[in-house]
Amino acid sequence: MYSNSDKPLPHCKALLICKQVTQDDETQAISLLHLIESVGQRSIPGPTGPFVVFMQLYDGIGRYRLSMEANALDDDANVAKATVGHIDFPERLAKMDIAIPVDSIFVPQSGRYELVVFVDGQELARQYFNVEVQDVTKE
Amino acid sequence: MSQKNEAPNQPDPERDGNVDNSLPPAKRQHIITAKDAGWRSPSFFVAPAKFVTIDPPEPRKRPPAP
Repeated sequence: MYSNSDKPLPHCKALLICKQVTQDDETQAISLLHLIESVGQRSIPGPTGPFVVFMQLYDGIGRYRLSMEANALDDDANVAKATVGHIDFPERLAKMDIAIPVDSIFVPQSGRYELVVFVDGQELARQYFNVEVQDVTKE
Repeated sequence: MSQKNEAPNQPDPERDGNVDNSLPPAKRQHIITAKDAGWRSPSFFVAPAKFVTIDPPEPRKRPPAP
């Protein structure tokens, strides 16, 4: 698959949504904590809590524009968009780990959602998550 | 039968099997936030994003059929 500038798109080897990403100060090792399958909301509609989108990309060439959108699958609607900025592959065969901290997404309803990542306007990968009302009496 | 008064979440090699004490304590873990924007190491890039709500939601654009 090629971007709009006839440049091959990078390959996405991982797209995960998690609560936290950490990096070891000594070894530089990256850890993903609490992978998110479902988001518990106290009220809907409302904003989710913070989360991190983690991606691992390979085989890119040069600079790409990265963006994301969130879609509600139950009514097939685009509910939020984000422009992440540019990523630069320092060399052709480089692997890039990318952490994208997000404050929140405003979700209009409970149900199934998808997070879609675009590179130069072309869809690269998507990941799914559920939004449900959290039972506060369980806390 | 001997009684143990240890807290249940304390490591107990007898109960849990071998405990690997060679692992370093997880105290040097830096939590990645939006303040870390940019390169953290030669292959690790942090790119914070702010989602903008689309209100009312728009019909989803589908990629063209191959």
